[in-house]
Amino acid sequence: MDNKEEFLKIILATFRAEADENLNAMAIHLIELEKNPPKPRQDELSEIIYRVAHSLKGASRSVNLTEIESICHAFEDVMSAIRDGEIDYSPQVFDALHQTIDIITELLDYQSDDIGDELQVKISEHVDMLTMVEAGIEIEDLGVSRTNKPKQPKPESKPQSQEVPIAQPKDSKPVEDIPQPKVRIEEQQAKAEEIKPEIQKPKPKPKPKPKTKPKPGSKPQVKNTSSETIRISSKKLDTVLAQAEEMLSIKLRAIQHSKNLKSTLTQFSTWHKQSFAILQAARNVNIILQKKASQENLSSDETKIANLAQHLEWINSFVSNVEKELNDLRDFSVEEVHSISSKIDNLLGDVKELIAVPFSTLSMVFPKMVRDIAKDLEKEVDFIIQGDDIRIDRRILEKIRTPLIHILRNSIDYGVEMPDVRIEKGKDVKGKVSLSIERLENNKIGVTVSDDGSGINVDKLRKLYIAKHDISEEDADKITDKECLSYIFQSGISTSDIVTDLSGRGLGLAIAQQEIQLIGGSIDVETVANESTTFRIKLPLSIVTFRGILIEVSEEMFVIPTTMVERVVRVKKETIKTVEARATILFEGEVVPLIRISEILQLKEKVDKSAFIHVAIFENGNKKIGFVIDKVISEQEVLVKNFNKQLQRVRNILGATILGSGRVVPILNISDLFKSSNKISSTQSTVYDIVDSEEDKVKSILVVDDSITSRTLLKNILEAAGYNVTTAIDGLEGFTKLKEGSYALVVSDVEMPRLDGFGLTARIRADKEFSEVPVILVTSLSKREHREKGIDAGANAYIVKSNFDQSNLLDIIQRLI
Amino acid sequence: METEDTEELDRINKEEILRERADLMQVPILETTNLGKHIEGLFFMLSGEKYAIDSTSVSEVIQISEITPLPCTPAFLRGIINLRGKILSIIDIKSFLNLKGDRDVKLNKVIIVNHNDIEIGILTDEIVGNEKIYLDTLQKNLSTIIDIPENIVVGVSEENLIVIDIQKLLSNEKIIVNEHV
Repeated sequence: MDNKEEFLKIILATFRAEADENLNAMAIHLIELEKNPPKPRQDELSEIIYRVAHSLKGASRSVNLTEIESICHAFEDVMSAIRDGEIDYSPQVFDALHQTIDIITELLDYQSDDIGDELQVKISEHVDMLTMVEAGIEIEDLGVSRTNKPKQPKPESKPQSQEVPIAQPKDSKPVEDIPQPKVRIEEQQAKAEEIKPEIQKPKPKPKPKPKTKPKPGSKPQVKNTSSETIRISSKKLDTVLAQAEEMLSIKLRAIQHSKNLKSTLTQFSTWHKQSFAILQAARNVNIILQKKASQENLSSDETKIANLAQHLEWINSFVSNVEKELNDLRDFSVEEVHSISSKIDNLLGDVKELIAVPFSTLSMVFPKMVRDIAKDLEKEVDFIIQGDDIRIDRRILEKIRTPLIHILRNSIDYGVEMPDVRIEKGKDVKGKVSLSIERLENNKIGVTVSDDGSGINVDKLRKLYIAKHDISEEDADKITDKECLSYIFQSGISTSDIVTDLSGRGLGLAIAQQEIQLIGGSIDVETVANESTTFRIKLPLSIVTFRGILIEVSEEMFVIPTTMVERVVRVKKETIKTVEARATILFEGEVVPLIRISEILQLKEKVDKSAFIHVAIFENGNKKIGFVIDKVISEQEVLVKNFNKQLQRVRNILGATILGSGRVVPILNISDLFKSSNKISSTQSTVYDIVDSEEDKVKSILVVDDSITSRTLLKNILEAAGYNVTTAIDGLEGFTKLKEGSYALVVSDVEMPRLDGFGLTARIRADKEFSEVPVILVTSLSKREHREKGIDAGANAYIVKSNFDQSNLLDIIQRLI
Repeated sequence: METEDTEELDRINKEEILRERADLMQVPILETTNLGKHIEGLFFMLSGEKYAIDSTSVSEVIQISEITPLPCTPAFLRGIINLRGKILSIIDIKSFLNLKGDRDVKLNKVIIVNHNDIEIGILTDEIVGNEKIYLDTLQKNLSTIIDIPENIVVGVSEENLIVIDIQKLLSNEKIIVNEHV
């Protein structure tokens, strides 16, 4: 308990500092706004004020300062009405807004939780007034304030300086000693009793400014005594973190260099093996020749051989030296990798520690929240938290906040039954909701939220699932409970018949799952009817790194999180089976649908002629899908980089990573891929098409010839050989037809009107889309320079009509396609 | 004698030249006073078109050698790059403005701009300098000529220089990619 109180103190102090900043910002911007700046700046200012009020509201809610929350809420409404142009800026509006700041400041001065009745009244009256302002209702005595007001916006700075002395003494009082505020309240109270005059009094807007200004000055004095900490904006910390993370790519690069050096060195062993015998032979030759040279003159050939042998010896020693140097370099590099790694890991660890906070920073507001929700629902709940001292990356904690709140609300709203129902069921009147946090292996933490309520109605989910997916009754039986349960994470799904304030809109869990997955976590749910519902969330301790598989699809690289991949398999195309017009493979006895990643990502399809395809089998929410990829490059440690603000969310892509080479590679969002594949598979699966076209489909050939005889002849030959043939009468028509259809190969004459065979070939080669289409030139031009010209243009084969026989042409075609 | 002549001639010439220069220099000064508001423009080329932006929104200019394309994003997003450990998206202004033209862009310099916490890189073929731009000299009513998202183009000069308002560009909701499956 002591710990908790200590914690509360820290949290409240932090909140005060933040609130001071917020109030100050609100006051300053309000004053600027009052000066009637140009329209764009006006919009900007009101947006800023709105945002600041909003965050103050959020902050006060998290520390349970409901009074401030409610005032901020009303304030926010006024600001949003202003922003949306529903009400105009008027002195009255500004007064009300400034007053709000005063009241919040006053509230903040209270050291104890207990706010006097007087202040309470004042707050509620003020909130009422703000509501009126928002509704555009003019408060009667505004006539007075209006006449007062217009003067103020203009001579802005002057009244400010004049009134400071007046405001100051008032302001300094509460800081000096505690009893003082009471005096102030009485004052305020007196005002509150006659609301109308009160509105005018605080009107001089300069007031809030001096008021908020001295505060930040006085506050730190209080804080200084408590601890030696400094507040650093999270933005700055994030910059430091980004740069520390960047060091990781230096480490990865160093490791890669070291690996490269090692593999280069292994090539020397091959060289040793290969050159050993020859070097021995050369040495022998050299010895023999030297012997001979000592007795007689060598012939010129013998001298050349001797030189060669000596040169070989020189090469050997040269290469050996290089090898030695490389060895040294490798040793150096290995050493460097060690020192770089440890230093960088330490640095990263420290930086991560900087942004790691205990789970309780988030969970300590939950008990009150749970109690309030339960109270609203007229339920009774015992809430237990365990393990909230575990420290976790601040960014993860921030991301998990909304999902956890959603889940807790769900547990109370859906899970825990009404007291009378519980008694009927023989349960304790009080429902149990627990939140436990534990460390798992692999740097993960598990967060479990469970309740002992009625459980999730799986049958209801099943009905919803079936209705949505248009599934026949027989198939419906095949769907497992698990599958139905995971359906609860789909947006728009709710087992609740009524939409309440808290839940039932079927969005909460969908959002929760998405947020959790975005930070590399996962969520599962288990339920036992009438006994319990348990949500299990797995989170990484830090966002920084995870294991990823680097894959290639359509010549682009992507990373997939290793944990999401069940297996990568090489599959023979023949084994692909079509089940209900979907391509599938058999994996561990299970029929798994196949989807091409390139299709989901709308990438250019790569024509793959091999008999195998690579399939990465992913599992997501108890469902498996095989994604066809081009190849796996490697598995390695990757660091996730979130996108910038401009890229808030990209379909199918979760973020990006930076490889050791400095290259940026997108990371695929597996749950998006699953959703996308649902859409694709409903139309048709192209894997099946490709199998079809590669193996069985009749190939099309385009024949381009200006002579009708040659055209017909070629057409007949090729059709007899089982090809689909289209003809064109010259190069230009040929090129147009090529663009219209899909042809595996082009057979063309050389001499043609408009565009000849060389020209056609050149055009085909120059075209991005068709540059790979094989071209065979068939011609009577048999001279060598013609053949060369054809090859230059990029033709794959050049067949001279004089030695033109069918089998030759068909052979070549078969070789080419 | 001859030298004296030439000297005399020189003297006259010089005077004339100086006067001419003085005249020349006088004109722009007079004009500028009439030209009204100006911005410090940073000029760049992109697929044959010349653009300018207010250099106050520019945080830096960097050289890039590769861009990683990002699937499932709008065409104006050319891809992403690594800027000191941050992921930065690269925008093709021409494509964003729906201007037709050839698509091939050399990978060269990227202008990094920042507004409202949104930071992006603007693709260029070449940076061609900076100069004052007098806003009143620009032709402003462009909606009839091209279909451009509201007010992003400040105006077009007589030399077909397209002046872009970076703040409007970055505040335009079309620039934010936020797509769900």
